[in-house]
Amino acid sequence: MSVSYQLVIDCASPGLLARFWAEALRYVIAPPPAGHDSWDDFYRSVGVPEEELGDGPDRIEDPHGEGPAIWFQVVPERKTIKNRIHLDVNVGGGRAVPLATRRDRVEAEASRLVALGATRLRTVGGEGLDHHAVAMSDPEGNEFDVF
Amino acid sequence: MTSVREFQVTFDCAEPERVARFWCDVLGYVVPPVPEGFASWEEYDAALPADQQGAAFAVLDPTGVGPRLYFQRVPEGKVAKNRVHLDVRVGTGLVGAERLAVLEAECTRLVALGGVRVRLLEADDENESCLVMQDVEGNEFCLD
Repeated sequence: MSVSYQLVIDCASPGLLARFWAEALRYVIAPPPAGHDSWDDFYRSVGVPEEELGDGPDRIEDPHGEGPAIWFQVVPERKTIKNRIHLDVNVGGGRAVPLATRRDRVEAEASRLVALGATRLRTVGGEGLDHHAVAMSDPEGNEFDVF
Repeated sequence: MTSVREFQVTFDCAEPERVARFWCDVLGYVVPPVPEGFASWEEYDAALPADQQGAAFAVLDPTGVGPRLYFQRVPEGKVAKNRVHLDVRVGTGLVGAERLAVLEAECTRLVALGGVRVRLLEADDENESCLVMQDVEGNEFCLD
């Protein structure tokens, strides 16, 4: 039996990251709580001041309700160093898939994510290694790997 | 509906297995089966080249639902608050004193395992109570 958890990612622009990561993980923007037309509407109802609203959606979830939800929490401070916790996204399918196929999948996904605002940092793997990954960062510089 | 991407959450660490085993205790995750041909992970690790020994450790959700957690050794220590953390849902659906009691009990259990209690954020109009902790290498997480 495992305990449920959510991931929390500090950020400046939750809407930007929520939309990016929903695309990257094939998650969906979490719907607002019942009885509210939007998250801003909900936040307003619990007393969040108007100046803290309007940043767009800040939560994404697995449409199947299985994987952890992700909340993009606005914090005042900016990212200054490499994150010590990051996500690795599996698009290659694992070692049972031929390396050439994995490489094509990883490269195609890396290109798609760059078009969505990610930055390509470097390629991991190469000659003689049964591994091909691309180290990237999201639109606010959070590092992640596609493999 | 398309399936979601499989992903794992990777922690940079000084001692991967130690941090991994703490998180098994927090989440009810398990150590994966030992690879064929080895009696234990310790034996598997000893067969690796010297520079790879103790360099990484993975743990899994036994229900197969949650992401794998992967712990990798890095040379640098933790210097700033992490910008990514886990909120561990031990008090879902509970409010008031009952919720506080559950959070405190879990905190006490995790402190005995090497976790650190940071502070209690009491409930306000906007949020339920939440107890901030750190794991055995200082990675922040919340019990909520």
